[in-house]
Amino acid sequence: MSVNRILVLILLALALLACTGRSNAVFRDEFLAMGTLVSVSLYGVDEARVPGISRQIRDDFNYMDGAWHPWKAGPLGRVNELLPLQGRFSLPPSLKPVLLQARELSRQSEGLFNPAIGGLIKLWGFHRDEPPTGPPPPAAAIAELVAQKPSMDDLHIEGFGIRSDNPAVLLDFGGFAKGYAIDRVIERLKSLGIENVIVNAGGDLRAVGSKGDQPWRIGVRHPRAGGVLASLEIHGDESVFTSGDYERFYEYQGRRYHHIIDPRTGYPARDFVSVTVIHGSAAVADAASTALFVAGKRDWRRIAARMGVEQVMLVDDQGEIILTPAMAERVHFEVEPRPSLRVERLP
Amino acid sequence: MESGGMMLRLRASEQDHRIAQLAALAVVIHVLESALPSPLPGVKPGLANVITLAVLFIYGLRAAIWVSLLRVLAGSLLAGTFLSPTFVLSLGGAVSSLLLMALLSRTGLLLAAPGPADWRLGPVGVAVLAAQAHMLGQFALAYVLFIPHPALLGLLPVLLGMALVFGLLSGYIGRHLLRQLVGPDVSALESNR
Amino acid sequence: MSRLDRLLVALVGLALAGVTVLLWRPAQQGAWAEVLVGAEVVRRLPLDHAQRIEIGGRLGTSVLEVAQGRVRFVDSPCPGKLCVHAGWLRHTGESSFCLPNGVGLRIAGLHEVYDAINF
Repeated sequence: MSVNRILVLILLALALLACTGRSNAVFRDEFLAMGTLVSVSLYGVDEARVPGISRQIRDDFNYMDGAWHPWKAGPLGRVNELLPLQGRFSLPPSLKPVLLQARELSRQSEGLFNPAIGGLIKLWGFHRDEPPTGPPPPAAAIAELVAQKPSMDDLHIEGFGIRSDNPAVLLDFGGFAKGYAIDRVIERLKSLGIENVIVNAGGDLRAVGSKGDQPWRIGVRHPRAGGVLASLEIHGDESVFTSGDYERFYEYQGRRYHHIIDPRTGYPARDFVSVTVIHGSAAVADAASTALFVAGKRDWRRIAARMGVEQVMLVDDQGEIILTPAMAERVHFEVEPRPSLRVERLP
Repeated sequence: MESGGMMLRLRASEQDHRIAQLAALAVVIHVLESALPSPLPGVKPGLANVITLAVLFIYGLRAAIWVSLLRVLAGSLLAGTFLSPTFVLSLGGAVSSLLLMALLSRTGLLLAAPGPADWRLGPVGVAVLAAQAHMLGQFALAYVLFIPHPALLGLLPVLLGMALVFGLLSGYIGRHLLRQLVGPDVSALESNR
Repeated sequence: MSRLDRLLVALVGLALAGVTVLLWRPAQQGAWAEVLVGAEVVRRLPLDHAQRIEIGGRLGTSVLEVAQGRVRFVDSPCPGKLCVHAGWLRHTGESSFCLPNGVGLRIAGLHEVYDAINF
């Protein structure tokens, strides 16, 4: 009898053993925040900690989403109600560091990344969670807003007081909030002792560490075809951001109108279909990918150099791919036949 | 049987003859089976194991080892796969199911051993466990020797499921065979050995 | 069947269900065919690009074909040709192996090949 019991117990133990373990697995959690799908991949974390960490990240994202939504009731929504009155009012403390970094990046980009054009974004209808439908707004309305030249330099911040001296300035952190939020979340995770993680918010991500002896592998989606255009491996701590004309757009009378508005013209920027930037900071990568998309073929190299961005991949409307030398060194193209490539140096 | 200086004494008992006959039968089943189409590529019912099973119950572990290994060797020589990867996998499967049978036999769990019959293993139980051991051994060998990639694991549920079905099948056939050979009371075998 | 027989057959069935649940992945249209030689992924063939390639294994050359989002073994130098009989593979997790030649084919989805997709 006892021998049988032992055998049965061994078999049971083996069956159970097959169901546990996996401490070296990658844990992935996905949730909706900031109007997009956020996915967090954790490696080398005790499984019991995963739900807690995941909840923390959700809470952080949801808080920032509420705080930085330009038109809903909340800190930034209130700021946007008060700015056009041109009086001095107190800035919600949580917004100040966001605003200061956005202004700094806007200056570096010569105003091509411009969070002060919230009015234009709203006119185009790209401020809502769901993309608008045509027709595009009237040319006269666009021209009027462009002529007022809203800029981050129209804002005067002293202590926690803020004042705008341009009634056209409305804030929209579209090309920046995601990056800034990812940086904050990564900071928080690092303080929790997490060394290997990817935070991916709707396709823009920052990856830290590795999966054991394997680096994190990132696929960059093809801006037109369905699959992956190129792949790259993350070294240490890097952010990969892409601005593309396919992310939020509508077509009207055969023409594509997308969400990356050129502050100089008031219309969607035309030269590129996607711009991918790799940089240590997610906020910088976010702002730079928008700024370089807007800058176009003539100016992108100068703006990249000014923003301190060295790794850039741009896809133009002919499907040709332009790379900086630092980017060319590390991307691997996954499409056959190999696309036509051009490497261009930064000044 | 003595002949001058060189002496060779072969003393084949009646039992040896029976075992050799059964091994030959196993080889025939093995070869016939490999000629038949299989429902799933690469998976065969392994009905030759019915013979190993019956031999295990009637003549004991040592005889079962002989029958099983002879079947693998002769089967591969006839099919022309001797020492090829197919042979290695076949041998690996046979060895691991024999190891399991040895474990069951040494721990006195077989129905042929004395004790309450309720807590002894009959042919169906042995066949199911042996089929799982056979498949797992073969799988482990394929993994280590040929393609040590986790992708191979995806095949495991299907393979083990087939092993369960075919294990039950050969177990029932084996039980029937045993009843034909030694009568309905298999537990009475002990006295014969 | 004795009581122990029944118990063990039930346990095997249970363990099988456990292994199935553990290893089961929902099938989706695959994105790549991964070509394995031994444990190494030697090629990743995008399933949307039709082509025919030859892969060297321990016995000889296995011929693979990609067409219409699917992939298969066309020929392989093994006696049983099980890999060829497995036919077309299309969905994630599907695989086919030529064990004697040490060559395998496996369908991978976006998220198995990449830890994250940037767009």
